[in-house]
Amino acid sequence: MTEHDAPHTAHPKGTLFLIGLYGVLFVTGWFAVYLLVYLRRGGVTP
Amino acid sequence: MSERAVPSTRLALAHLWVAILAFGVAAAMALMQALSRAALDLPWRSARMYYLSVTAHGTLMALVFTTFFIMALGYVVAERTLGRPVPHRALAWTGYWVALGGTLATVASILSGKATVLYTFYPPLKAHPAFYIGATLLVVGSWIWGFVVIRSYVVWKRGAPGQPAPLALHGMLATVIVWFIATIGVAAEMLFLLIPWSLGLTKTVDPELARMLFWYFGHPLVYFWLLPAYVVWYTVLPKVAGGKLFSDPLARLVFILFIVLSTPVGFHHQFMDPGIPASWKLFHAILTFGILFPSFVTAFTVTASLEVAGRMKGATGLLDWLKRLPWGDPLVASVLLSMLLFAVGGFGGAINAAYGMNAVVHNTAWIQGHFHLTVGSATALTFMGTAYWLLPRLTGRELELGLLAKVQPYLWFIGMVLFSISNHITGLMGMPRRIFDASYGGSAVAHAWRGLTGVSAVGGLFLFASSAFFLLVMLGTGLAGKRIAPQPIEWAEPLEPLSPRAGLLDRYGLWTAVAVLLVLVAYAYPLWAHLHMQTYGSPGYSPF
Repeated sequence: MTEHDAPHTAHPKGTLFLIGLYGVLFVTGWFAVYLLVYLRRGGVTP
Repeated sequence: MSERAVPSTRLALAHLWVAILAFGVAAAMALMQALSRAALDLPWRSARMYYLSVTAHGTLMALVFTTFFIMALGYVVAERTLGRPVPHRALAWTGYWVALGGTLATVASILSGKATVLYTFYPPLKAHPAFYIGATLLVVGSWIWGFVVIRSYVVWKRGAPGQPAPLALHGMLATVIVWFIATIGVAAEMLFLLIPWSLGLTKTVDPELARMLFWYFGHPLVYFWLLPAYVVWYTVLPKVAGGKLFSDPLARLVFILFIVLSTPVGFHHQFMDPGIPASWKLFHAILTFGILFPSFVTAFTVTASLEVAGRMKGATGLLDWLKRLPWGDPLVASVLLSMLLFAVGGFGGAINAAYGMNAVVHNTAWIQGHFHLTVGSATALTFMGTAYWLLPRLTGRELELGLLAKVQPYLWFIGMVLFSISNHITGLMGMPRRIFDASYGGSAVAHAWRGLTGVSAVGGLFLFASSAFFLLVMLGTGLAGKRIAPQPIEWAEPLEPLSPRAGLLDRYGLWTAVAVLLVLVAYAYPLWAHLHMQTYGSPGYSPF
């Protein structure tokens, strides 16, 4: 088996899954605060 | 180079012990604050003691613990990556004593009750001159450190033309450059505003100008804390976890992006301040979102490096590599848990940075919840984990009380989840930050916060226990650890071989020039406009 065939050099699919999941939670959380807190309180901009 | 032959070990250790002791004093202060905010009737509880301890906690944690730890790590990195002693050792020791002398002056002024101005020292709150002069000397000492680290690179580079700096040193050089650019702001604030004012040479001070200069410094200060943590994440964690760094060029890119983007973002701390045009606040807000990008890249690269480690140990499924990681190793656990907490902190930061939404959380408990996930976790927990790895290697002693070291990161994680999440929620409910008594004299609105301030206090107890464990391990190792054969300080190898030629990402002068240019774009006009504005100075104010 060559170095490039080894499992540890394969595409980091687990990392991409976790980062993708974090991205979804990040955006969902941000918009949740925007829609459910910020806009509900009047959306005031200083 | 054998460990015993390394002449600067004492230099690094001297800095490390100041950091550890500062952490210990600051942690004791924190427990009292968490309990006080939960309205528990403690002995000697008073507003005066509360604000004194908040000032001491913030100053010792955010300025002293971090700066001395980073200086210790910087010397280790400069010396061990290049395999040669740092130059100008007498100057380096001078920097240490200057920084320590300044720290002692600052801490003495706080503990004697003459500098209750919080770690942001916003005027018109006024402190004893020793506070400002001491803090300035701490910065001067760190400048000497930065000069010695840069000189280490320059001297090495003469004998290795065309070679890129080792990645850990690349990260420390980025840290130094960010620090040099950032501290121009606080130096100007101290020298032209606060020190003359505290000495009575000027009658009044311009609070808005002081805030502008402080936040010019205050946000890149965050990256001064964070970049050395990233150095550990990129160059130590993969090695200790049994893997390799996923991508050296991506890591180099991240540090360069921080050089460029760290400073021109300070107005996102001043969205509520008068006197700064909205367009400039929006410009800083956009740049602030830009600086989320290198942290996202870091999340990917470091996680991928951990996946490499797990797969090198035989993992094959989507996520079973997580189970193959050495979660019982104090350094690995500290960094993994700090990354998890930082992920939540990053989400909160994106709300702080949004021009409109900032109004919802400004000056609320949300903010203290946020920065305890960033500096209090991503940085502090990483530094504690690094200390477990570093102290035995510097002292030639075995890590003592290993069980406490294994448990400590988990206690910190639990404590920080309880503390920070409850503060985020009470912040959204309207609870202000920096208040001595969260009951507000029995107000109905404040009553709704009550249960969560109790949760926050329980979190504080966990954090205090975790801090005590850390100190016991450090003191046990440093004072009574069993002598062992010197262990090497090793850095993670990249998965792909590193190019032997320095590239665009290794041109520090170029990127510093780009950073300075961007700083001028972001700050020159607002500063010029402020200096030509009719302003009204304020006399000093000392509430206690």
